[in-house]
Formats: sequence, C-alpha cells, structure tokens
Amino acid sequence: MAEVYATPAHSMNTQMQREQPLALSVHQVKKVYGSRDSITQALDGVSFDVEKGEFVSIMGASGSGKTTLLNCVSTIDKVTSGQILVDGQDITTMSKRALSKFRRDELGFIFQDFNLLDTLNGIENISLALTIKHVPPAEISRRVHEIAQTLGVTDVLKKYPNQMSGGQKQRVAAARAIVGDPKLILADEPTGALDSRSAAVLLETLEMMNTQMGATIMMVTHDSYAASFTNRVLFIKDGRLFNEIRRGAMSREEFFARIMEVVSFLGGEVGHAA
Amino acid sequence: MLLKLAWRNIRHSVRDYTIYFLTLLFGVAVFYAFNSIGSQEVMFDLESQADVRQFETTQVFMGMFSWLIACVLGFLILYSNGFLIKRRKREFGTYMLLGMSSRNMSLIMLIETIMVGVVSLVLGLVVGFLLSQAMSFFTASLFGATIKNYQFVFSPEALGVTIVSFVVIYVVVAIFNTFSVNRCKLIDLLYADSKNQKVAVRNPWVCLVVFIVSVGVLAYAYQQLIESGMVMLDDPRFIRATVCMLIGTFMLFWSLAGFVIAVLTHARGVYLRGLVPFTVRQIASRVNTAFLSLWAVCVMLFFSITVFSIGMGLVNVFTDGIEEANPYSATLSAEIYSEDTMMAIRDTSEAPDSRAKAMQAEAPERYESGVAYNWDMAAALRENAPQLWDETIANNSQVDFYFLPSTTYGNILEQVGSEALDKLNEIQPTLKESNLLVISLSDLNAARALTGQTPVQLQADECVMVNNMDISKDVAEMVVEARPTIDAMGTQLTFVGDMVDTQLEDNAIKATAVTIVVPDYAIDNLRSQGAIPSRSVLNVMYAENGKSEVQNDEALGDIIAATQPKDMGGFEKGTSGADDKWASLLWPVTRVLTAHEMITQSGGLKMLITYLALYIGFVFLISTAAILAVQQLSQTTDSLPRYRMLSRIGCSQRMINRSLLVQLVVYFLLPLVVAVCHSACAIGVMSEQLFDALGVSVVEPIAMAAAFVGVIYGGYMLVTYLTSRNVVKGAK
Repeated sequence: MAEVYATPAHSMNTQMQREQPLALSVHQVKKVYGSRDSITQALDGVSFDVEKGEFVSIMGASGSGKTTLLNCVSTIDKVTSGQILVDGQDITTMSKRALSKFRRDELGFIFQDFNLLDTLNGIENISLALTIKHVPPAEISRRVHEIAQTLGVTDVLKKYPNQMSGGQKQRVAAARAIVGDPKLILADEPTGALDSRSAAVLLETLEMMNTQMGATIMMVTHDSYAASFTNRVLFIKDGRLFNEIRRGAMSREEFFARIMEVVSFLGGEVGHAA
Repeated sequence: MLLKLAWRNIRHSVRDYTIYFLTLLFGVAVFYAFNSIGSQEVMFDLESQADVRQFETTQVFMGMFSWLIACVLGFLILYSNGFLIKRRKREFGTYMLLGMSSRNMSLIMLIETIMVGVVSLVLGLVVGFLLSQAMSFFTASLFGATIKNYQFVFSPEALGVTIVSFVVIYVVVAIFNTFSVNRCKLIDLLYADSKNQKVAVRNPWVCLVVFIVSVGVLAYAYQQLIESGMVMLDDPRFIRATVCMLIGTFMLFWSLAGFVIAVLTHARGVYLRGLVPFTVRQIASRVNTAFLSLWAVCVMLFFSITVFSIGMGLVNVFTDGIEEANPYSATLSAEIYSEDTMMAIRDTSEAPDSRAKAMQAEAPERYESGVAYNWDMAAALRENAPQLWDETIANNSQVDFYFLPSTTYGNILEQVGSEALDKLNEIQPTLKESNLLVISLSDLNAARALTGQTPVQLQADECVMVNNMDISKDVAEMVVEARPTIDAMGTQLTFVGDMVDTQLEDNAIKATAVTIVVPDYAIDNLRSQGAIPSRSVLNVMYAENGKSEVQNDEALGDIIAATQPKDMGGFEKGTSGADDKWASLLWPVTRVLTAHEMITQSGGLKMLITYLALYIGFVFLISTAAILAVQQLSQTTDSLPRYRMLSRIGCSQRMINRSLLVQLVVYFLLPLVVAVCHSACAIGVMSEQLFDALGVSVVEPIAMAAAFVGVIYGGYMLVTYLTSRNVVKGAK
C-alpha cells in the first residue's frame, strides 16, 4: 500500500534548467473562498507538473476541490496564492484581457454539458475556436475538415447541436478544443452526460488525440473508468493532493484496478459512474 | 407574502427592462400633455372667437387621435407584458412545484400589474404635467402669441382621459395575465428554456424565391404608388400599393434571414471571421422568430416617419409666407356673377354682355344695385355707415376681374409652344379653354400703391402678366419670355416686361394666378359692350384709430351688416361664417377675409399639425423602439450561456461587446431601413404632387424627421446596448 501515499513529483525548482518548459506547472496553489466569517479552503497548497504530451486525470469526490483546480488552471477563477505556469507562462499575474487572449491561444476546453452554441452548426462551432483567433478563412476550412475527419464527425458538420446525439456533440466539442492546436486541453467531466458507449468512444477519441496528435490533456473526472484511459491519475482530497499513480507499462484493465484500489481507500466516494 | 413576492419581481424586472418602464412613463406623460393642449388657452390673451376656436379644434383633433394612440400604447404594453411573462415561465414553474395555487399566482400577477400601473400612471402624470407646462412656450411660438398670464394649468379632462385609457389598458393586461398563468402546465413551465432553444431554420431556396418575389411585390407597390400620386386615398392604385407594401414587407422579413445566411455561409472569406458566424446566427434566429413583430414595427415606423415629415411639410405649406399672402388689413370679395369657379369655361364666341344678362335674369335685385353704384363696393358700403367707415378704413382699392371673351389661355400658349401647353394641362386641363382673366392697369397700380409697391407702366398696345402663385409660375414665366400677343376685343396687345409679383387680395397662400393686366381703355371698351366684372375684390387698410385688429375686424362686420343685414334675403353665393353678422350676397360682399383671421388660422393650423405630427410620430416611435428593445434585451438574457461559453473559450469582452452592438444595430436598423425606403417613396410622391407645386421644400421636414427619429431611436438603441452589455458582463 506504500504507493497509495506516493506524493507527486514537482519540478518547480528545476523549471529553469529544462530545455523545454512543462505543459503545466502548478506550484503551491491555494484558493480561499468566502469572507472573514466563513472561510472555505478549496485548495490548500497544491503542486504538480504535467509534461508535454501527457494525458493526466484528476480525481476526487465532490467538494474535494478538483473543479476549483480546473477553474484556476483554465483561468476562469483566480488563485489566492501560488503560481500556475502553462507552457512557462505564469497565468496568475496576467491581466483580464491577457487572460482571454491566453485562453483563446493556448487552451482548449471540453465541458460536461458540451457547451456548443445551439445556433451554430457543427462546422461553425468547430471554426469558432479559429475565427476568434483571426485565422485566415481558407485555412479554417481546411483545418476544420481535417480535424472532423480524424475525430469522425464529418457527417454531423452541417447539423445543429439539437440534431446531434450526446456523443456526437461531445466529439464536436473535442474537435473545437483541439482545432486551435492549444498547449493544453482541459476537460471537465467530459463523459458526465454521456451513456457508457458514447463515453467509451469519446475516451478513445481523447486517447487518440493524445497519442497520435500529441495533445496534452488534463481531465477532471470522478469516473475511474474514464481515468483509466490516461497516463497518470492525481487524487485530490480536501484541497490537497493526496496521491498519484502512473500507468507506466500497465494495461488499461490493470490500471483501472489500481485506480479502484485508491478509490476504495479514499472511502468509496469515487467510483465508476457508468 | 404575495405582496412581497410581487414587489421583488417588479424590482428585478425593472432593473433589466428599465427602458420598457420608461416608455410606459413617457406614454402616460405624452398622452396627458397632448390632451391638455386645449386648456393652455387661458395663458394667452385670446381676443377673438377665431383664436379660441384654434385651441378648440386642436383639442378636438388631439382627442380623436388619442384613440389611435391609446391603441398603439395598449398594443405595446400587451405585447411587452406577454413577452416578459413568457420569459418568466421557469419562475412560475418553481412556484407551482412548491405548491402555489394558480389563483395565488394570478394574484401575484395582478398585484404586479396594479403596482406597475399605478406607479407608471402617477409618475407619468407628474411628468406629463411638467411637460405640458413646458409645451405652452412651444405653443406660444407656434401660435405666434405671447404668454400674457403664465400659470400652472391643470387639465382635469386630460387627467380623466389619461386615467381612463390606461386603466382600461391595464385591466386588459391583467385579464390577459390571469388567463396565461391559469393556462400554464407545470411540465411546459419547467422545460420552457429548452423549448425556447429550438432554432427556426428555413429552406434557403424557398427563402430565396420568397425574397425575390417580395422585392418584386414591393417594386410593384412603389410603381402603383407613384402612379396614383397619392391624390385620392380611395384610388384603387393607392389601395393596391398599400396592400402590396404590407404583403411585400411581410415576405421580405420572413425570407430575409434564411436568404442572407445562405449567401453569407457560402462567402467563407467574409463569414469565417471573428464572431461573425455567431453574430449572424444570433440575428438570423431573432429575425426568423420575430419576423411578425419586425413587420409590425416596420409598418409603424413607416407611418411615424411619413406622418411626421408630411405633417411638417404641410405646416410649411400653410404657414410659409402667410404674412406676404395677406398684405391688406382685409379683403372683401364679391362673386358678382361668375358661376362656380373663377376660371369658368367660356366660349370665345360668347358676347361680352352675356354674363350681365344672366345675372339680370337670375338676381335682378343685386344686378340693379351693382349698376347703381357702378360696381363700386366701397361706395355701396360707405353709404349706410359713413362714420364707422371713415373711422375704420384708412385706404382702400378695388380690383375688378373680367373674362376677356375674345381670347383663351390656350390661344396664348399656342404661341408659346407645346411645352407650355403641357405644363398648363398638368395644372388644370380645363384652363386651356378658359377666357383670359384680365384687370385694368389702374386697378393693379391702386393695389400696388396700397402696399407701397411702385406703379407699373404700360403703352397702349402692351399688357403684362401678374402672377405670384407657385403652381402657375412656370407657365407664366414662359409666356413672359415668349412675349405672345393677345386679342383684346379687336386690339392686339403684346406682353412686355417681367412678371409682376403682386398679391391682389388676402389669401391663405400667394394666390394671384396668370392674371393679365391690360391698359384701362381695353377694360372700358369691354364695359361699353355690356360686360360686368365677374368678380371684384375690395382691399382695405385699417386706420390707426387706436383699436386692435380684432376690434377693427368687428367694425368691418358692422359696416357690412349695415348694408346687408343678416336677415336680408337675396341671391346667396359663396361661403360665409355662420357667426357672421351679415348675409352673404353676390354683391356687394360675398366673403370677407381679414389678415388677422388668416394669420391666426395659419397659426392654429401650424399648432394643430405640428402637435399631431409630434404626438403620433413620438408615440409610434417610442412604441416601436421599446418593442425592439424588449426583444433584444430578452434575447440577450436568453443567450447568456452562449456568452459565458464564448468568454470561456477565450473571446475578449471587447469582441463580445462588438457582437452585441452589431446584433443590436442590425436588429434596430433592419425595420428602419425598410421603413425609410417606403417613406422615401411616399414622401417623394407627395413632394412631387403637392409640395413642389406649392413651392415648399421638403428638405427641412425630412431633416427634422431624420433628427427626430435619430434622437429617439438612437437613444433607445444606446440604452438597450448599455443595458445588454451590463447583463452580459454581470453574468460572469
């Protein structure tokens, strides 16, 4: 059981010596909500790194702080103290305007509730990530079709979100997240609103984005099955990093079993949702 | 508890829909203010009955149009209210889920309606009261009067009308609300949000076809309108134009979005930039679902713009140069015997004395009297009231109009050319066959002397054209330039000199039209052959006797009454006021126009038309702008998740704001542009048919209408933009 208590490696000190900056480096991040009377410590000194090309999942029970962590990394929320570096840039000190530009240029998002624009069809939803970056229209068309081909959503490009199935919607959302070639893709419970079959297809898609397209993905989930598709799982409890397990050479089934071990140790609060 | 809930709800919606509640307040205020115009009369020193009548007429018209205004405001309130309710379905759903009875929900709605109604009525009436005080200064400048005794005027009638109208509107709203709350089903209420998100998508090919057809229908409507000339409103072409305009506009709005999207999505270079796809889709979904209200808004805007500019143009028609048109203190006219119109059609072969003979047969008494005084009106009138006459009248001169039997206008214009004939036909086709209207040189010069103009000189074989009427100016100019000759009972007279600009009598406009001045001997010649004047006018200038114009007008009435008292019978002709003291006779007086009366009437007309145009224009404009604002704001609220998502994936606030602005500007301008096109056509036709002919420029009224629309509509746009920007900003 020693591995259960393994603490995540953190390389903040050696950051400068690296040839290539890390995809993500979270250092001593704290987040406090509320006024003086009632303080909630959502994050209490979280530190970890994500290498380029990694597919990391973050697990934890509801209220553990995993969503807060994701919000901080995705620049939607501000940290109380600590640093978050994405591709070597400290996002905790950026202005509001710089942050929207940063989100636009460096991050890709996949949400639980798809968050496609219902007024736009598939092609336009995917294009949106590029048009707001002012990519030339001719290139947009090419790249969107390429991505759609890779992710298998070519036949829903002309459809509107309400004409698509949940799985199709989420793959369109995934296409939108990766089409801009972001440094880091953040996925917030992407399988949460999907049936198990669609979830499996989506997870394979994400895995493919990671292995074949070289995307760096950080996924927040409470689903062990979803987590088993990743390279590494970080467990978060009461605002602190509690454990980390790496897949290494394990098969997905073995890895899933390891994750379940930790989950049951944590008190069975986290399980296979599907 | 219900009260508290209702109060909280109102406070919440007032924050988001300030602009709608402001519009309600404006509506009440304007309604009161315009209905209270009649009572402003006490501020002015109104001497004559005529002055008082102007206010009464204005009041009557305001009251009449208030019905229309009340309907428009009622529509606005009902529509916006329905819209706000639809947006609150989820809230009702929650109430129902918590077990609130539909009776209590209706009660909440009723309390809300009463609160909004009472507050808007009270505040609106206060604002309206202040507005009406301010308007009295405007009235003074319109009416050309000075405020003698300024005071706070409160009009109980206007108060009553306003309260009754709005209470009726709010009762209807309350009934409507109760009905729609009672009809609600819990399931629909809770899932209202997801239901609303259905995107209306139309087949682009169908849209394209409908769009082309709509453009065709509108073109046909314009063509029919131009042909009809908007002279008669029951002209079938005018009716066709109206119907086609309504249908064409409707089809245009129905098809526009689908068609534009089809085109835009294929123009990738333009389409795939920034938030363009999002913005375009937002507008399209708005237009696709709200085409009906866009259509109504467009029609109302058209009405508002057209009424306002034509109204302002009409003000100019009635008031431009009113002082120059009334150079004499008063004009007494005698329609001696000219049948129905001054431009009576006469056969050239007719004998000069035929008119005299006809009159002798029909109205012998009048004829005898005329002959006895040698048709001298002043002599006839002075005889029965010499003292009053001398006291009142300082100077006078008479102009006798004759028809020259030997020549028609057609005869002259044939010498001038076909272009002149065409022009004449445009003005009045029958004029061609009409005999020349002539006056003697000494009559002209006497009239000119009365107004301080230098005398005109003529040789024995010369004649000159008098004209100051805009409609006939072109023809008169052509005649003067071509210098044709006329046959005056055997003598050839040639036109000389420039056109003479003299107003020969008091009138609403400059009204001397293609009248020809001949040497005195020519008239004497005519008289010796038994001709009598067809019509005479006696222009008088009042003496400086210390009396006011109104008092002198009264004295003039007394003078006439001395000769032709009210109960006197005779051959009546022409129109006379029912309250005149004298009988209208062929001779010596058929009709009196006094400068004071004319100028007062013109002031009254100016006041009436200006206020009507402002009233209708303003209410229609704020109603349409408010409808668009409410729709736009509620769409922004509905779209909040979309904006939130855009912001998450990295859209800057600036990009989002720009998208909001574009959506708003397009949505507001779309009906406006279509309405302006329609108005341009209608005003163009009106201008060609009416204003140009009367020499009134439409540039000024159009500029005023543009400024009027720009300020009000622009103001609504700005406030709506700022509000929706805050809604989006506050949501994050």
